[in-house]
Amino acid sequence: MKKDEFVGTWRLVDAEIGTSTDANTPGQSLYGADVVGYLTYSNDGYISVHIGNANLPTSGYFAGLMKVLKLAGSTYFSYLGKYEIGKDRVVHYIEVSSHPNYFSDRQEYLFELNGDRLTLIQELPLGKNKKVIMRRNWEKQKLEVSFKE
Amino acid sequence: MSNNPLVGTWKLVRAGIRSSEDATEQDLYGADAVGYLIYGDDGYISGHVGNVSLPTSGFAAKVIKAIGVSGATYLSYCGTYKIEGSTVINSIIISSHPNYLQGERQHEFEVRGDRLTLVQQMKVNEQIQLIVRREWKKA
Repeated sequence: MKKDEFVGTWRLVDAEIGTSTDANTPGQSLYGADVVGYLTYSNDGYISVHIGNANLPTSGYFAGLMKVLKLAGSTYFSYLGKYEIGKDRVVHYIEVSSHPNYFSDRQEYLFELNGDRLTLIQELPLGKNKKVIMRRNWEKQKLEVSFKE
Repeated sequence: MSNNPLVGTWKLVRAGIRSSEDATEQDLYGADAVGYLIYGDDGYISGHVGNVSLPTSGFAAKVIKAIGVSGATYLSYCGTYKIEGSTVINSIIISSHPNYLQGERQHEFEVRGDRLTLVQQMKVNEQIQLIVRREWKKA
């Protein structure tokens, strides 16, 4: 039943990043203003994600990171794999990705699902007692396939 | 749409390329390419094709060597699609390759059982076209 609610195409509404120690403070934007993101859960068990900025980001956490690390090039990121839905978590088993270090990787997200809104929450340990927390909010898309015989 | 033959996830079986002057295809991506295509019944398409390592065989390996490309051979995109007869037309919204964002991409398709063939023709000049044939199997 829950799988049916996941199945479809979702568009990124916003994404933010914070830490477990500032849980009461709104996080900062993760990707900046002009990011475009799509997430697909297929009925046959596959998940595909694409996130990227139309231009190099000038705002948000990524812009700061790129400046610090002197990263050049695109911020585009994508992967495809299978997914498994648990009680409050969805796990992505990645098979192919734009980033070689994601090949055969596993990503786990807490989820909050409310109608056409899906929030995926990712926690990354930082030191002994701290976590980096990323929240990505998605909205379900619906088109009619144009089909001319 | 229930009678939409494309809906589902497809895994790349093989891909070949030839010019319109040649009868024989050569391998496009090399041996270790991994590819998936998802057609949703909501009108969205998502595609991923990449090599686990830089390809050492196939047409892509020759291109990489000839023009000195470094890095991954990975290509992915997400967009919408429509079907007109035996043609599927993709409008790309986001892609790993910015030049994929321009215009529509047309492929002739044929579905036979759990197999899908997509054929793409690209004009090289007034006389010659490149013909790319990708074969997929329902995942």
